[in-house]
Amino acid sequence: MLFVAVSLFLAFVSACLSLAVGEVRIPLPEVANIILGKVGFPSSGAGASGVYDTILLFVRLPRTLMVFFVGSVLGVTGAVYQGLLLNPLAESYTLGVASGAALGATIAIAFNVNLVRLFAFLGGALTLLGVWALSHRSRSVDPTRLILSGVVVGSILQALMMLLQTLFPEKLGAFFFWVMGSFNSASWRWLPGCLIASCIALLFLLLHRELDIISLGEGKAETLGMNIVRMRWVLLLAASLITSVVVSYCGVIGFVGLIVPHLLRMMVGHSHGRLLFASWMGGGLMLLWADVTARAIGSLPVGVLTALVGGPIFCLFLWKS
Amino acid sequence: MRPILLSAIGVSVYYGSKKVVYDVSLDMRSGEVFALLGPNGSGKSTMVKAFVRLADKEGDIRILNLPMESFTRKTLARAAAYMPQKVQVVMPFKVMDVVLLGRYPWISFLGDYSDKDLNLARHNLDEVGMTGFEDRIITTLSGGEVQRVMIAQCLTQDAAIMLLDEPTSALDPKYSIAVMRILRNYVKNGRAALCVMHDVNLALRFADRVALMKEGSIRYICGSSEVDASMLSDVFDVPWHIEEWQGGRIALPL
Repeated sequence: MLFVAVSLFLAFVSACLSLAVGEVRIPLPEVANIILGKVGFPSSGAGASGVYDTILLFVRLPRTLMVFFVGSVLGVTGAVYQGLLLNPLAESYTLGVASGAALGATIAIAFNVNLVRLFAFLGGALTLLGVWALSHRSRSVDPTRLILSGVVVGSILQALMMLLQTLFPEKLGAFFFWVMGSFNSASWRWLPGCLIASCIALLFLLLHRELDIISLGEGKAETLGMNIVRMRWVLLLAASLITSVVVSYCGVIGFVGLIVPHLLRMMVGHSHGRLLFASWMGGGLMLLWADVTARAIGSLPVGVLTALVGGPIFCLFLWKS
Repeated sequence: MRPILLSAIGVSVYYGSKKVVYDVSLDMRSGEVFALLGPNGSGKSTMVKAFVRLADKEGDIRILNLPMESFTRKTLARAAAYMPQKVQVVMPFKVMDVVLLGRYPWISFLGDYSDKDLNLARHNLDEVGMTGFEDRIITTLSGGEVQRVMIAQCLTQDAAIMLLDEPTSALDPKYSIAVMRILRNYVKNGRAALCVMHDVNLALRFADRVALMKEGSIRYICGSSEVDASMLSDVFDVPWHIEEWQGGRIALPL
């Protein structure tokens, strides 16, 4: 309960910062004033500005919510992949899903198809199917084989992406968005997709016991009454699909799925009952802080910041463990 | 006559595509500790895997007098608990969390552990001498301690039949004897336990009946008091001597 209370407090503070920080800085009392006014509380009206109002409600608020939802999806899917594949390095990039989504978007941009997000989603989903087909053997799936297939397929997809970028240099700016990840196009229009993906990520909490059992090995899982092949398929499919959804909105953002579950395991332990919720909240908060920092120092792509900060943190973690 | 809880009739079992157990028939009765003995590679572990559908088989297996095919995964898990030979615990979970997973077959999809589940888990940790280890991280424990935790998990599964593949392989004599006593206690309530074992003396002392396997088939099946040196010599390919001692029997390979 303490963790939930602290998380909610941090989420509130982070959201306030996210609403205030940007090219136009909005004073925090003004932020509170506008938000309270919109939800029906009487606002003071002092200092209220139409510009602030527009920036807050049509730019910052959808962006803040979208960043949190995307981060929560990346955090939970990282924990799910790591628990599922029994590998601490697993995340959506390990299986090539994020690369597949980025390639799908790149193809749509290169050939002027006006369905970039759909292509990104399909790219991620098809990649998962390919990786699964490569690693599937008789009744079971070997996690090591799955990761190896994912790494190889991911490399091929990234090479294809670079090939397209070379063939279509005039579209490098649009490609850049997908490779680095950005929330500059955040709007209310894209929020429902991210919200649904984040809610599905929360639903993984219902399968926390199954994720714990998977770590005991196939034989033990089956004899405890779990259909491990079906469960692996369900978890992988759901995690990969929601990853594809969020990548289709904001591009590839690395390290959140890798770092967040690792850091949180030190705080809440390894049992997925606690870890999944912590990763949902922690992923959202980490990406929110990264996005606020990126905006504060001058509209950096958020993916660059997560890699720059996440990489050293992970190295520190490895060194200390 | 006590009811039969598990029976195999003309069962052959495959390890991958290779047949490694041939035409085995046996039954386990309520209240019975049954030991499966034999040299390495004789098919003991594969045989036991067939009882929990972890290996392909031909022939009929009946559990609680029902064909094995009529069980779902969950109902089979409620009827038979299984501990594999090699216990894999790669995630540093708390000991209590691992033991509680034994309740998985009994709880609903959205359900949570009840006080009864928690008390059962605590009781079984106490049974295997692991009280005070509830919050310890399992990956920091010794092999023997992990084995005791996994036995506690099987006990917590609360199934009618317990199938244990070398449950004492990592245990010192004190805990080997303790585990066998736990099994004797477990079968008192009309349940049954089958142990794959290499320790002939533990089997002779604690099992009601013994099956001796060699090259994929059961060579002898009899009460533990009826096992003689010639049977052991035949199965293990070394001469054995059995000595009567203080009301029990000690078997020695020569």
